[in-house]
Amino acid sequence: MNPIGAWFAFKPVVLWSDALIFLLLLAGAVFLAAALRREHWRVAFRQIAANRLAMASFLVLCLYGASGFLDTLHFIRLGADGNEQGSIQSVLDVLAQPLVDRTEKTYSAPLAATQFSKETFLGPDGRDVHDFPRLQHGGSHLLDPAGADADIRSRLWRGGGYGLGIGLCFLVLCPLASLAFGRTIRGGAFWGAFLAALSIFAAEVLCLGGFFDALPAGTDPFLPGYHVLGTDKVGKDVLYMGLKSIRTGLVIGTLTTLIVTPFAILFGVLAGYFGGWVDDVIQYVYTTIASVPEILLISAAMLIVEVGIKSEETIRSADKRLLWLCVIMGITSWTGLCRLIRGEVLKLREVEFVQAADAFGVSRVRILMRHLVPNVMHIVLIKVVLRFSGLGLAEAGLSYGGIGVDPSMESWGNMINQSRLELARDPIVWWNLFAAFVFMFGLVLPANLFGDAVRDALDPRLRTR
Amino acid sequence: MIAYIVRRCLYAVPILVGVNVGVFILFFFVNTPDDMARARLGRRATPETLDEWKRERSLDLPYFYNAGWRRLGAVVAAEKEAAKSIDLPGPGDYRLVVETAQDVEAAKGRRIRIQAPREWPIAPGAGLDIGTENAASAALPERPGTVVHPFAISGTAKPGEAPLSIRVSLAVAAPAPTQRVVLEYRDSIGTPSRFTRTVFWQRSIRMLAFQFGKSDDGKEIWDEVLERIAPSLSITVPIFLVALFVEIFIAMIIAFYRGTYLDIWAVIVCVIAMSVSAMFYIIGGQAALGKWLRLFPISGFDDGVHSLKFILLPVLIGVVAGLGSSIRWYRTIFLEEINKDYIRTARAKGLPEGAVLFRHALKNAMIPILTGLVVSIPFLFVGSLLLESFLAIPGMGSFTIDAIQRQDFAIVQAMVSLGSFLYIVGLVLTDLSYTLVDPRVRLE
Repeated sequence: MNPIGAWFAFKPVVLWSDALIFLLLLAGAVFLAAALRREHWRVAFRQIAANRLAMASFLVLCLYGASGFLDTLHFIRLGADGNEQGSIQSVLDVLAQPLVDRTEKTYSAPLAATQFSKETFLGPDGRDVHDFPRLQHGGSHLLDPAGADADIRSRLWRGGGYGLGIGLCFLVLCPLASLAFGRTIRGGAFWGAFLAALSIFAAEVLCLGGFFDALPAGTDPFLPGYHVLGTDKVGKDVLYMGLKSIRTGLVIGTLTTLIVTPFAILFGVLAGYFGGWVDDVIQYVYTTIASVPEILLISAAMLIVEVGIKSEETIRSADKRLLWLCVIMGITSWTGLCRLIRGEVLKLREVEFVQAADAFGVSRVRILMRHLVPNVMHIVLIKVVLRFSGLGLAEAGLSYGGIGVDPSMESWGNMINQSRLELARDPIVWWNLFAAFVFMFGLVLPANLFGDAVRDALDPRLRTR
Repeated sequence: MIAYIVRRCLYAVPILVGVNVGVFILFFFVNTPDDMARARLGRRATPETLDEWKRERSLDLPYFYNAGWRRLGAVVAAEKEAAKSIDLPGPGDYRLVVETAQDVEAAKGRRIRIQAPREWPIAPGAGLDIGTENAASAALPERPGTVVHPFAISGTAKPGEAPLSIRVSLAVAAPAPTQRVVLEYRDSIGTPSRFTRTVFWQRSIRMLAFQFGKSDDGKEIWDEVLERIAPSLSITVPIFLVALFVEIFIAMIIAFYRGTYLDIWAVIVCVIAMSVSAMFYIIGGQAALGKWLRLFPISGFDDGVHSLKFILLPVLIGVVAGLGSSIRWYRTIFLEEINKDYIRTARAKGLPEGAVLFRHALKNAMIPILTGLVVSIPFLFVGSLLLESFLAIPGMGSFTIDAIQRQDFAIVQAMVSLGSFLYIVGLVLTDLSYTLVDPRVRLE
């Protein structure tokens, strides 16, 4: 058998949410290209770019985005006979293959070499022992699990060393680059320090996880390393679960707005521009929808949708459910944006350039498309960016209530949900919760900071909670 | 003023109706009651248990208009030949309804035949072929829910003379697909009940009068709501008041020191605080204060005076969880007020900064603050879903979450209706509160 051939034989699979993500990226690119051609947008972008905290946040968001994107490229392996083999995978699964393969039997603490719970097993002297068994993969390179501490310490040093090595380059290069471009050296120093911190963090994780060791050894398919964030109840690596959850969080944060924003713009502009009965109807519709408490509407709708989703291949039905969640959350969040746009268009309608266009006999559709829609886009962008973090947080709450994403889908909400029972154990199993916290916080904090910067740059007067 | 209140309330009526119709569509059109019953009872449920489930919840009624068709009995075609004698209440209009046919193709070509005693002549409607011996037959449509041509039974014989029963039989060519044919009789019902004995009336109009019906475990939902409002309020009201006081106080201190490092760091801390999911506050608070420090019981609730120790932890968590976003929000409002002319005037006449802030700015800042606050007052009744669920407080929030997890459609629908009603009340209250704090707002 030719392993390389088997490795490369695959068929791409595009799930519904994948297709929408590609569409979203395309729409984003088109929007960006259009915006960059206009001076007032360029000014705003420059202002954001000058905000170091915002740009650092943006970089972190990009890292999350890259991980989510890799997890979006789905495919299915083909066997030697050309038939589909196994289940649908993503590129991220392949990159994180060591994490996927290194499953244990059950819980193990972060960086542990032995299992979390005691078990009776056959000892080296041939007798049954009741003790913490060695893990199959975590710390399996150690002769004696008691040496784990020393090994971890040496790995930390090594990781710190690698990270610092790369970080030093940044520390030197960034200020130099900023000098060369005539920018402030303080900006360069900030970037150097930030990138150095990031690379040290990444190197520590990689080193403890045993990723570097694969390169020289090459022969051992299982890399000797630790489970950096432990393993969960069925022995899956928690770090891997956290990484997989990134896509879920991002999909909910972005697709939700993508699905409904066109409608919000359309109806908001129509209501504001035409007034009269159009305005009345649209206002009535969104007031009615907004009158149902958000969380209750989402719960009710998910409960209903759940009934309708037919059981298919798990990943596909989970994907369908995820999309439904986006649609439903979108419907509830659509109203606020629609109201804002309507208000803005009401003001714009009376502004001279619109009146002039009207006087010149420009058609109404053209006024809408050329004069009104581009002038409310900044509100849309602000709302989309600010809404993002809230949606990510909402997902966790909904999944906890059993109305979020499919329980089989990796998500931070599901991780928290799972950890509820684990917290009651003694000793406490905290790493699932911890991982969910770290991953969520790492996404939501930059999202909030970046959102604030976008708002300040585009419309500092627009107050949002 | 009264005219305004009345008008404002009248304006709320169409919205309330709209919400109700919307919820009805969501619950009964996206999925049929059949789907709901199957989701609730599982795949193994027999048609009889499904019917029973629907009848208990009056979901077997027609949606909007009840012509009075009453179900008398059913013939199930799964065997080679299916036949059944069904007792009839008397002469009148009858019809046959096809209910289930999973495999449309295989059900093709089936015929149904009805036969009545000689004393009760069948007057078949269009399409029903008259046979001999007072029998009629028709081809069975494959689609479920179709009405096989209606027929009438007339008769001169007095009841009791001959047993009034009808024999319904299905000629089955292929036994495979299960098909159920239901014989229905048209009752003469009064005009009001033609509208009240419908799903829409029973499950939507009645919601407007807070008649929520029964939950899946047979309790009256409204009774349960009344029982659970007190625990919910005992948590949400203290959270609301304490949080409001603390947040405004801190926000004013930050506004007082605006532009200093205190301000910058406070905002950063706020952003960090609001980036943490509420669930972590709950779990963290529970673990830190309840489990490790043992200051409070971890979860639970009690009546009367004993409830105090159970209330403190959720209130503390609830207040802390909301601090980040609220403080930041109030700070923006205060800063906006502080840059206005009347503040400059107040300073110019020599008032100390504290007096300017607390006496002048606070009053005017109350207007935007009120917008957010008054709307949220009605939600105090709905309770906090996550907080109550985590801390096992028997309030409205945990009621809702439990209902969602048990797939109790009736409760969820009731909570949605109640929640939107309260929201609309909140909107009206907001409008009225403006008139109290802002003399510039005039009621037209």
